[in-house]
Amino acid sequence: MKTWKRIRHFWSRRQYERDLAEEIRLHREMAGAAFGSAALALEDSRAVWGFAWLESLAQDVRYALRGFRKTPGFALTVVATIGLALGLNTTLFTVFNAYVLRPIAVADPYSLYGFTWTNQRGAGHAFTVRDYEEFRQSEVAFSDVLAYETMFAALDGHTMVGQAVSGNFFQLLRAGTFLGRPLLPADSDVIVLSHATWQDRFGADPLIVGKTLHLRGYPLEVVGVANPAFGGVADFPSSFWVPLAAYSQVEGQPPENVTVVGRLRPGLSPQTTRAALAVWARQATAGLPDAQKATGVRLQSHATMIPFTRDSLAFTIPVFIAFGLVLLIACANVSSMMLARAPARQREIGIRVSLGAGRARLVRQLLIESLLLAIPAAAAGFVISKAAMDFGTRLMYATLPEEFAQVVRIVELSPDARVFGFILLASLAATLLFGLAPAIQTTRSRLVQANRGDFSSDYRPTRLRNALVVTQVTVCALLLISAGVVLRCELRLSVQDFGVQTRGVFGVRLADRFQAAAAAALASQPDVEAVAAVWKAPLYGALRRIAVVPSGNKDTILQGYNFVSAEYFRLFRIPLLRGREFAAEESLAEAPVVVVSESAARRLWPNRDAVGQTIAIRTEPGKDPYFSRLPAYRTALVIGVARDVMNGWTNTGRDTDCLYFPTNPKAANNEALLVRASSRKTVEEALDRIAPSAADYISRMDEAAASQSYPFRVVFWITAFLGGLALALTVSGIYGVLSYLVSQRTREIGIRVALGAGTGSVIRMVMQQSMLLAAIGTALGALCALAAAPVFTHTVAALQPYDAVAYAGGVFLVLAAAVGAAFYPSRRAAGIDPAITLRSD
Amino acid sequence: MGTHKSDSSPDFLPGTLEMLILKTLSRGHNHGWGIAQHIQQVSKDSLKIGEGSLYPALQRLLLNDYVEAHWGVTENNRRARYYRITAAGRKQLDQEKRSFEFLLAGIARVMEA
Repeated sequence: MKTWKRIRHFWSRRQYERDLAEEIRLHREMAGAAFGSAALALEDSRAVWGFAWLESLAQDVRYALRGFRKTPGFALTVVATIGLALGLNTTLFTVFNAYVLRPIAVADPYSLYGFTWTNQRGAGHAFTVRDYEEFRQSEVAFSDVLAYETMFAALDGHTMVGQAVSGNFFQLLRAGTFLGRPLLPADSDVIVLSHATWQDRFGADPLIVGKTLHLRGYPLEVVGVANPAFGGVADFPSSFWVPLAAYSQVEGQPPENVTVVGRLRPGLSPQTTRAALAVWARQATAGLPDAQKATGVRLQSHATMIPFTRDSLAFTIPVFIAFGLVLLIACANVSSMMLARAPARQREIGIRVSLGAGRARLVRQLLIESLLLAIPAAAAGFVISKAAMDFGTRLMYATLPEEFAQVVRIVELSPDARVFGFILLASLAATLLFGLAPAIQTTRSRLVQANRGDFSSDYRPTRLRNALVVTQVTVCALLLISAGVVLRCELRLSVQDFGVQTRGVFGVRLADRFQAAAAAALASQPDVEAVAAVWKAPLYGALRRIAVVPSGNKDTILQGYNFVSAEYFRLFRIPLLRGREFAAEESLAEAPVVVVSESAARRLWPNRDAVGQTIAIRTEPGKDPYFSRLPAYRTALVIGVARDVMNGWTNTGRDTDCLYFPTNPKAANNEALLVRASSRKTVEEALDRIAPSAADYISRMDEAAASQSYPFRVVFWITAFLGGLALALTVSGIYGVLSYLVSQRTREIGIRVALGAGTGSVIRMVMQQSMLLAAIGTALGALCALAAAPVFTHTVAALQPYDAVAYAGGVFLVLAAAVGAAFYPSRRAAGIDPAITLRSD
Repeated sequence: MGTHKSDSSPDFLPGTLEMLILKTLSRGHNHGWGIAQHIQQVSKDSLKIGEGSLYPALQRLLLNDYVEAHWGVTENNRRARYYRITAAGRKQLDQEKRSFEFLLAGIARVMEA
């Protein structure tokens, strides 16, 4: 009823206005005297009819738009500044959303949980295929369980990362296919391609189903292409899926371990399931030795690519903070721009106040103005984020070491409701940030002064503006110092001597059964200098550890170890400091001898000659798959000491101590052959003679070395970009504040000059203002960086967060920028002519 | 009439002004100025109602259908908007009167205790 009346009123509101105005006029006439504001009475009466807010809203919007038309430069600057910052944050959120928030494209993703049990050391049990089958048959807690193992193999000449999966994989997930059919439990020699692989590698061939592809030279029939959105259940998109049976055929043995993922029974909560699994795991491991008994279970949601856990948050929060700070700076900049406009607005607002406008109404008006700026800024941000993602992806593939670029696949980065929600919230937050403070400040006007025509005396926003500038400088210093720290770390890594001469060396990964033939074929190639077999190629991750007892000692020491053939040291130009390399016979026989690295020799036999000593191996075979390959002997004789080299991830910085045991290309379980050759083509030619797609992967070792510092390079460029942006915003912020200050103090400066102040002292006065703010800001920024430092020392060992040079560089850059920003305003102040300024009033 | 402290009189308890207007109109239809005058006279000048509170209150009553408005002519032959109480308005007046008396009695008891 009331709503209906309101709507009717809204239609005839012109008539209503006229009536009301006449009524009030009459009232005043009869009263014979006017008191109070007729406008206020009108406005309050109008407000009763409810839709008035709508009308006054429309009024405010019209008014704001008119204002923007008058100063388009201001509106454009605000939209561009906020749009850029919003765009960057949206980009980050889109990536975060795609990996951590968006559920994977399967039926009921939230009921999928990865499962393993943990032993007393807290290590998760690694399921074998047999473990998995037993677990599945026991039908505990889950309605069904799948298993998968990641495969890294060449499919028709393209190296890819795919998954070998249990037969029920597609049925359990109910993922469906785009073409053909999914994998079924009875399948063996078949393959399902991902939609992206089908498009990128096979030209979206509509007749692909039924064709035969070679995975590591083993023929598989294509039975289907998965749905475009489906990427499997691992934390990266898979390029293909094959049955576990095909894995055994391709690799010559079933996978050592599989990851197990179950679907909750309908109506069963994760907590109940966890409890049931804990009971089951304890029973299942009851007969095993204590070290292998289950003490707990781990249940991890597989609803998204990367689970939303404390770990994933710990990694992303610093990134979000860095991006958020840029948004904060942008808001601060816009805020101070609005404050700079304030004196002009003050007059207009004073007039409105004296006409009876309420403060709430004025604040609302100013906030609507901010909101009207935020809406196009959000749209601009969306467009910018799209462009940034395209550009970023292309940049990543262009700068990534070639060997990674061919296998790395990123998820589809499409915006969805969550992304739009984020933009909406972020732009609203930005509006409040940049609009509220100026709105409150500006409306703090007193009626009396406004009536007198004096609109400036009450206006003291200096403190707020100073706070904004200090915030900007702080954030800017923090980002630049961080960029400096990362840059120095990257430089340290890239000039670091790995000790292995990687130029001209290729790593060839291929199945065991091809290795002997491949080594022979490669060695017979004319421009191949050397071929070596190796268990774990260096620079591809930390060394495996083995427990040994050195002769003349009783303590067990954990040492990094590897298996290499005799040619390894020559191939990588690693000099032997003492003793000798393996003889060819020792390599072939896998004799009980060992070459130790310099640092290992120092650790095992301090102050003694290592050559001639023996080590006793204490690690038990087979207990833990992590130590899957052990020497067949229990003691080994040290025959040589090799110079230290970097073996694994260089950022761990502690993998130079290594025991080299002999091996040869015929031995099982070596992961790679290393070839020193003049060109990649030579290597490929030799390998093609063995079998189609025999090599999974041919990589250049110098790229592997370069890739060690790649993550740091990426982090540096991102931080440097954010820091640069922050610097630009800060410079314009300081410039704006000082320009405003100079224009406000023109008269005062004029008097000073008239009284004999020199150019130098005027410049000093303005500079002082800027330098004080900049000094406070940089000090705070450096303190923030120091406070954040301990977090990063724990996560990345190569990072030295207390890097004096980085700090000095960041601080210097910010201070220099502050001086630069203050230069022009101070010059203008120095140019003030007292004769003109003093006459103006 | 002199100066008036405030237009939107904060001296009224919320809703009392509407009650007074309804009471005034229950004696016959009247225009805005007439209502204000009546309340002032009857209260012996202790209640002065400014247009800033009178007209918003009248709008609230109109919106709730407690009064209706129509244009008429005053004794002095001037066009004016007259307000008349409706049946719903009378009911509302009764109810407000009761709750007001109840409230007043309560306040009195507290003040005399």
